[in-house]
Amino acid sequence: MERLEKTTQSALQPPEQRNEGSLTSTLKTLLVFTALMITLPIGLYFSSKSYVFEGFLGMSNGDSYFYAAIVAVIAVHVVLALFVYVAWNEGSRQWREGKQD
Amino acid sequence: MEEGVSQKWFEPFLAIVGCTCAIVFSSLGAAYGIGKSSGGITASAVMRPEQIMRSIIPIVMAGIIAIYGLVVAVVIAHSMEEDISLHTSILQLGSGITVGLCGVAAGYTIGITGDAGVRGTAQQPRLFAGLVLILIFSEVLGLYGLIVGLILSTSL
Repeated sequence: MERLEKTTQSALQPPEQRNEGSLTSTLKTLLVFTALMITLPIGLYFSSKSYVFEGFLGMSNGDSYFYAAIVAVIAVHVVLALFVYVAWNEGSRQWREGKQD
Repeated sequence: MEEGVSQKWFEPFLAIVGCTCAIVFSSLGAAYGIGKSSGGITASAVMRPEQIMRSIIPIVMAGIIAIYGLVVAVVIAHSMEEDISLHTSILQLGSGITVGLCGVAAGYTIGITGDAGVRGTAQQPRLFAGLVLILIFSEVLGLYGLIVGLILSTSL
């Protein structure tokens, strides 16, 4: 009976109070991934082009464009996979918490 | 021919149009993808606000389409020279149009899939894995355009 009362009490709370913590954490995660997606591919493109391919491996100009672009595309997919992983775990965690409430 | 116009204006024109097409068309595809799927996200987030992080996945994938166009546009812009040959400039034009229109195709698919998928995931959470799989298949349409665009742009 106490579990039923606690359930109805938490259901009668306004939704903003319950989800305040999860809202800020969601927003922080989204901001982190936005910053990652904006800076990582282009930054890796230019830095790998100048330091890795032309500095370390000594390729010509035309070749290093191609391989630096490949590096940028791989970086984009790594960020995407990380985001899908985080979203999947957050979703399943909240679903499990919802079942226990 | 007038004195102010250089004799070889046609080749840089083609290459620059290729660079423009790469970023403009892929941005159009990404815009449709983001706009269409955000309709579904805002509709489903009214009843299921905890699904918002999962529902942003179509938005991220549509943004990646624009990144494909950006990468090819940067590659084309970097390879611009004063005395670019006709062969090279036509290659850049083809590369830009390829990645741009494949980006339109991919963004269109991501928009429709994301919209219907997030609305369905709000009611049936087990749909999420299937939605991600369909979105991956939609995304690789743009990736094929990027691959062909890069091969064209950097071939001699």
